[in-house]
Amino acid sequence: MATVTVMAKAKRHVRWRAPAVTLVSFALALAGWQVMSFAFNPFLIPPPLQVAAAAIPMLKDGELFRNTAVSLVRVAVGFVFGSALAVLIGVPMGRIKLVNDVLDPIIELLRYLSPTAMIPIAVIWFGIGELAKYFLIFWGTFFIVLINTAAGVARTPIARQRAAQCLGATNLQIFILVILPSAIPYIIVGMRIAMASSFMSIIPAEILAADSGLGYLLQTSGLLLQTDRIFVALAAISIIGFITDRLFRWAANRTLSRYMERLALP
Amino acid sequence: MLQVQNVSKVYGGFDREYTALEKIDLSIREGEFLCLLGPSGCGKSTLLNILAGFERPSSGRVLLNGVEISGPGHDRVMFFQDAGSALFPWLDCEENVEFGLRLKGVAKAQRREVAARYLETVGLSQHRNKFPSELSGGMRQRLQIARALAIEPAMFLMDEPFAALDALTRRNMHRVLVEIWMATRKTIIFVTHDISEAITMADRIVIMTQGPRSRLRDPIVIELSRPRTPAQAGLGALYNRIESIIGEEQDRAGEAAS
Repeated sequence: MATVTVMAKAKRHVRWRAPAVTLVSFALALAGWQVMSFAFNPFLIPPPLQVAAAAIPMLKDGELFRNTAVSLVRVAVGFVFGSALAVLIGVPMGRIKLVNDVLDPIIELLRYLSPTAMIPIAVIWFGIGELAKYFLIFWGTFFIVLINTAAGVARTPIARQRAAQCLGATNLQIFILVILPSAIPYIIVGMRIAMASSFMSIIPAEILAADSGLGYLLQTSGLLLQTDRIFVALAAISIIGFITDRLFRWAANRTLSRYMERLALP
Repeated sequence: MLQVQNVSKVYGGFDREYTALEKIDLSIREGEFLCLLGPSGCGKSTLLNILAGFERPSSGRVLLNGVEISGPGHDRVMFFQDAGSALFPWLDCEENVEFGLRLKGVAKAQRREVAARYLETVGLSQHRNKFPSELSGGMRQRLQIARALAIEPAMFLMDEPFAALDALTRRNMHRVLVEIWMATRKTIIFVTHDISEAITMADRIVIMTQGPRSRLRDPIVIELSRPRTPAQAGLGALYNRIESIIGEEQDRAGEAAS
């Protein structure tokens, strides 16, 4: 009887433990932030309440919302095009050796060019309008999703393909019913990584060559030495990035959960 | 039913040739349970791949009912050691079993009924909506068996399918497989390196010599009744006989190497 009570207590304990720990962690971080502000310089490190106060007018007049929306749209467009083209090219790359041998050397060279490195040429090619931004996000997304897609397609276990052959599948059926589903988890992982990269790519682009967006907000606040507004912009980037990633994962789980089934090793 | 005629398999070319199999002749009767027994690296998997149609022999041919085989087919279903790789993880048990039937265009209701029947045969009925990731190793192998049974092939080609399972599960799987065989009388070609596994299940055991250039020793016919328990009369003597043959071959291989 005593052991049962102890275990029941432990279970109750565990259930609210995780969110409680997160809350405590945030509280401690905020407290630490407050301490840092006054230990160093409240101008260099604005305390949390001051940042919150600076955020309020930005929220009220829609400045924060507008710039966030602009950045998000740029990321979305570049991400969708980058992922789509990457899957379109990545699948044949993973499946057909000739395609892989031809494209791989070029990709291996190009992928070291970060989106930031591509800003000058993007501006020359596309001007300082939206197209340049879409191109940069596309560039940041494309290689990551491409490599993960090709790897996922190539990693379809040979046993699975042969099993399908024995069950009577034609080559086309094996491709559609076995290889593509096997590759989905890898493609999704690639897209998640690329999304983080996209968020990081938009900021330099907006700092150097834009008149709207969160990066632009960072830049103008910096020029005016408004550290509290800088912090607001930084917080916005973190929060939006976090939310988008969670949304993506939720959406992937809702629609594709059966493809994400990992095989537990025996 | 299946005739292996003078089959050899050579890998590589130029100065890196590796002769895996040399002049293999084997005749397999319909409905028999044949074990290919041999040490690792003796080419048993290679031979099985050739019988399945995944690889072509370098010379010689394989005839199925008089017709030379040209590729994989649903009359000869291969079983893989790693069921996790061979099964479709995005489909649940029922859907995995139905896969072959879906390819054939069988209607949904009938597919479901056939799948239910074979899941019952392997004892996985109550798990039919579970995914392979939720099953244990033994259960996954049983699912593989059910999936193959659903398309009613003439022949099972099994490549050490129980090697990755623990000893108790393996013994259980032997029982399950022998029961299925006795009920359906499919031709089974079972590859293993485990003498007791071969003795427990086979009608005939063909011992393969150590590679390279593997050959087959004369088949050993087993006439003990099934089910076979370790303490059964004659089993011990048979085990010793086979073990000494294998020992002979290893000595010979050792001499050849030195």
